[in-house]
Amino acid sequence: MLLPKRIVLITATLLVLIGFFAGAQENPPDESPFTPQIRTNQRSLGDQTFTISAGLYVPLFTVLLNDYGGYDAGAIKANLKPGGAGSLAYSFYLSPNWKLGLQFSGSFAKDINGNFAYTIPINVKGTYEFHPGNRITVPLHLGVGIAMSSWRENFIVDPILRPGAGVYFDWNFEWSFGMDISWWFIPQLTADDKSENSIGNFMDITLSAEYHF
Amino acid sequence: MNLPRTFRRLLLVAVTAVLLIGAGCDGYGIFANIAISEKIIDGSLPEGTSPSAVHEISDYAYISAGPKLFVKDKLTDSNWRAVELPNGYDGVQSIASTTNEILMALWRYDGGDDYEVALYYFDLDTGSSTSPDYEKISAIPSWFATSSSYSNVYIFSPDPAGPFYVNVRDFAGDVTEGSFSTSSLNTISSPVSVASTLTFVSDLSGQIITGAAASASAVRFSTSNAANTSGSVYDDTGATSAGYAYTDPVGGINYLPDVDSFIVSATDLSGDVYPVYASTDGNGDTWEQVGGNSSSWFLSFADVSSTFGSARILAGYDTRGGGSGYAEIDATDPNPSNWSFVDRALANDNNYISTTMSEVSVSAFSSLTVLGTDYLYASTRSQGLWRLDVTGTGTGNDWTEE
Repeated sequence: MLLPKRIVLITATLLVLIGFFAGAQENPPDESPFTPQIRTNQRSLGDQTFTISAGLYVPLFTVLLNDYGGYDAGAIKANLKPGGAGSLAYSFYLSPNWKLGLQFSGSFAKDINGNFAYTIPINVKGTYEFHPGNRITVPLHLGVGIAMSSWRENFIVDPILRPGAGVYFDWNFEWSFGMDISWWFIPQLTADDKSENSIGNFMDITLSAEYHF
Repeated sequence: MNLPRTFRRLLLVAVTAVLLIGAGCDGYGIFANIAISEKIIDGSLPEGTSPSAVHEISDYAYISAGPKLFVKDKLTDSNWRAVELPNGYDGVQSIASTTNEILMALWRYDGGDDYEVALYYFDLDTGSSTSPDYEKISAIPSWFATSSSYSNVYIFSPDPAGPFYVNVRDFAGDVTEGSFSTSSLNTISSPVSVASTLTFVSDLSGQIITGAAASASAVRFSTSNAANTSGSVYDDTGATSAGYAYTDPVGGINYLPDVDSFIVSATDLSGDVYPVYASTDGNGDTWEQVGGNSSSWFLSFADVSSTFGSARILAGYDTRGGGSGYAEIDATDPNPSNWSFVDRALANDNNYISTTMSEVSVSAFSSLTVLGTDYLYASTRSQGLWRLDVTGTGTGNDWTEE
């Protein structure tokens, strides 16, 4: 039963992504009046970005929602070693400070027995940017979406809430480089055995390159 | 920038995400199970080993694994060490043991039709544990391939007092592409000597022996045809067991001494389940279907009642049927139709779910006492050999990899 479900999930996700990006390319050019760009990091409605990130994935702790496996309900160590994470994101500006986008991420980490655990979130990402300087941007962001997790032979899809922040140096009008930190808050509430329900808490610390167009 | 269109797309993404969560909701609590998992200590056997059942002789235990043979010293709980095979032989096709000796069907293949299966034994009266004095049973000719036929030889020793039972499976055609043709049941008396003979018992009418077990009064074999569509339980005369009315292909037969029952698993679906059959008369004469439904079939069974404190059976899954690791059967009711599959409780389950054993087929269970500790050994397909301390009534112990 799991495999068809997995295929449905991946197919549906790919279709949405293809539709989203294909649609983005079809948009007519912005017809707003020309506005001189005074600051390197000055953004305006209609600006778009593409961001690539890679870095460290830090498993924090797991909150057991029931007594399970000899442990009382509550927070216990995640039992995963630090691993790697990365993401691709497309965003567009709604205003000089607000942007909205779609983020596709992936992470991996080994458990204490050397088995890899993978999590692949796909989320909508809203960002508010502070511009404390001509070339400095400080984004606060929140992602909401789904996280597909697999470990050994097992697979499950859960919601994910992903608040975070970063700091970027705006190298020129087109390129920014910086660092992001985000918290992966993944409630895993739909296990077949309800005593296995939990909330996964992880963090990624990534270096990012962002292209503005 | 057409914002309304973009918003619609994002809304589509959000709605789809919600639908995806709904579509994929049920599953395994990954984070919880990782969090409670325990460190498994690596064993000494090579990675990817698929060992046979454990065979005990003198102070040593032997397993065959793929083409190789390994030995453990029970007096020191040594690591498993590789054992030399007789010159020229490539591997162990099957292995069985009685109290005093180990009998093996060894094979060699030098390409083309140059394929031979021969019977060798050793008893450790001479030689060392890692280099035993092999003797070929010279009175039993080897099975050589021809351009139109070859044979494989499978040995069983359900009773540690002997005899050995030998299932010779003949194939028609080339060694690499032959198709199954006939199968026979034969015996070799124990103790074995170079002059031992192979005594023909019966032609099995196209059935191959998938397991053997013995109670104090009876020997029974589980069988299947080559296509795994029919089978039965046979007695040691090569006849189908009186009172066994089922026709499913069956495997993994075992005798459970504390439950005082033979047990066997169907290896093909009957309706929507793989039935398990049991005979509690001690003689394997009357059989009935075990209660509860299994959506996978079993390769092996073990009686852990004395450790568990009440009638309890471990049943090792075959991943080809969709299950993995083992299940536990509550056999406290005298009537097998009232037995039921229950939550695992014999071992520490946090440890069990952390083992790779829980992900693969468990092909055999064996009992062995090492340094005064009673262990239950589980042989897996591709994930090595595991053992659990079952001394006394010690439940909740950890499986460790050998």
